[in-house]
Amino acid sequence: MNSLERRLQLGLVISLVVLMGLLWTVGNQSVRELTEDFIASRLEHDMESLLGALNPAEDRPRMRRHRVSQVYSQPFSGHYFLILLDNGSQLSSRSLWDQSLPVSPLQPGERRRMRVTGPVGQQLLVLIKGFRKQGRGLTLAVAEDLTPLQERRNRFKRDFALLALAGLLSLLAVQRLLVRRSFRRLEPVREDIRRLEQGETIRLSEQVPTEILPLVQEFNHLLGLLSQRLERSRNALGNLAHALKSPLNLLTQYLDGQSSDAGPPRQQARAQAERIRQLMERELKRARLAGKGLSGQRFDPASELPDLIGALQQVHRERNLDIDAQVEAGVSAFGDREDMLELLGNLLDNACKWAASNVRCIVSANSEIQVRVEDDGSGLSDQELERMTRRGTRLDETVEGHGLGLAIAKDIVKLYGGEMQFGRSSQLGGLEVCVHLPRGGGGTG
Amino acid sequence: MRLLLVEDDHLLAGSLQKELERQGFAVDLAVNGVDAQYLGEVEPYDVVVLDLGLPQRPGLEVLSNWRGQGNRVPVIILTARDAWHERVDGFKTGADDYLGKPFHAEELVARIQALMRRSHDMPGPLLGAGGLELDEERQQVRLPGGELLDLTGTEFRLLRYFMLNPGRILSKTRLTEHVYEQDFDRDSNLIEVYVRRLRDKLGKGCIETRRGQGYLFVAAKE
Repeated sequence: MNSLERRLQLGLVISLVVLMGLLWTVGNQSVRELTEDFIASRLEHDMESLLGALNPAEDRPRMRRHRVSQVYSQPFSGHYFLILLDNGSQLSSRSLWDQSLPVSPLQPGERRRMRVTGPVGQQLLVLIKGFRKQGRGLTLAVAEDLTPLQERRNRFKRDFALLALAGLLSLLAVQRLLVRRSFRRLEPVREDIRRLEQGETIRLSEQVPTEILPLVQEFNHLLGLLSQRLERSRNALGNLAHALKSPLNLLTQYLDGQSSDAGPPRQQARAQAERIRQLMERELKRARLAGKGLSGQRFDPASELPDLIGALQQVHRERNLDIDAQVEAGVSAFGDREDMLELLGNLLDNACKWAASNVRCIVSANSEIQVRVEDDGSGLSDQELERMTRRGTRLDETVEGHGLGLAIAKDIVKLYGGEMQFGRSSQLGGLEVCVHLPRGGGGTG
Repeated sequence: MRLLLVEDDHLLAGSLQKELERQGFAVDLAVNGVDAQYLGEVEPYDVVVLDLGLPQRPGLEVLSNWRGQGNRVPVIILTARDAWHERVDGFKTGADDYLGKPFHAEELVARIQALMRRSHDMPGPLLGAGGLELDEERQQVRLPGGELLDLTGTEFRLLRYFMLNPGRILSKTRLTEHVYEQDFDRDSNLIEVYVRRLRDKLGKGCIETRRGQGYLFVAAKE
């Protein structure tokens, strides 16, 4: 459960349901008690007037009809009474008709309240009291049908529940709206991060809600630190390269300066100096790579590739090569400028070294960036191709001469999470190197 | 061939200067960007070997300033900063060639010679003119008959300059400027002496004298 919106909604639902449930129970209870107490007190009044209308002196108790309310005369009206005398005779209201109430005699002064099921399924509240009048003990029970009241109460329950549900839903809707609206204010941050990944910006905007401002500030701080560190390590490496190369250069000059037939030890030393040069070159170049993600400048193939081709043509001027470069329409800037120039420079330089007269480079893009470099040189034998494609083989150990440049290119491709394939060019006949690079930062966008 | 070597590492500069002089170049050395730019502006160099990481003024800025003034002197950048983006920037600024450090002196020399031939519209692996072929490695000249002749240092320098500029009248001053380095004690009579020696070796007619103007390299006579 990682969505803040879900969390907020769940919290709200739970607390609202508990609250509504509590209200509903307490409300019901109170209404029920209130109505029953009210009816009981009315029954008490009825009881008093019945008692007044009763003449218990004779064997059979008599009621003075005119002092008894009409409701006790209509059959099953919902209002009943029953009088038990101590001599066993009893008198019941006409409304009871042929039915009776389950009443047992009580001692004078005793009082009981109960609920029973009466005639025609009516729910009755029965109030029973024991009296002594004119020397005779009698038990008087008065009952009233609760059904109409219960119906009213049920309706109230239902209405309350419906109202509560409606309230709950509308509160949820309002909350959802509020949450959405608050989160929409985070949208610019998300957009910023996307642009950051694409290298279109180097900082996040700090025009954000206060709650996430510290986060954004911290993020910016880290970004600054990171690019500073990259800059610094690039500079440091550049300086180191410079510092290391000069003594190595002198060493090379010194070894070159001796007569070439100076014997195996000198040959060895020369070979080792060359090896140091290659190792240093590769490691320094690898360390200088920026990689995907943040960096200063993006590589725009449409404008940079012609410059690179120009440089290559100058470097290989003696060879009179025809270098054809195509950038398909719709290829936007990708990767770090320096990294991509290094990648393409090494691939093309390698192709130029081996080409007879033609080199071709095609940059295209669909779901990923594709760079294809072909030449019309002698290419590689099937065996060599197979060795180069094999996983885990170190390029610089496999094919003489295709060494350092392709090794560096491979490092770059690996850093960008891409792939590099070797094959035979179907049109030019030489080596074909195909590089696939994922678009954008790391698969998004 | 006048060559300006711009390199701030004294040890490397020293050994390189010696090697280049051995190869028949009149080498001037500049160890910082400001001196380099000044020398490039006032001296008629045939080629410049330029380091990029220079004190006082970066090499690229020096190059960019020369090109901005219309100075088209051929420039080889020789630097430890040899990433491709740096090469691209170097060529865009106007460099003619780019060589990464560490390098082999032979490669630098070969590139300088190739650049020389190119800048004189003489493509090809060997310097040849007027039926003569110059072996720059051994400092020998091959006559049309196939005979190989050894040359002394100055003879070689002078003949190379003649062969790079066939059919052009070259004044004594110009020859002196391009054959000797800056602080050489210049005596124009020396040129006369060496022209005479070349005529002795290659045949009288190969270098004509234009009175009051200078010399003209035509062709070797059988």
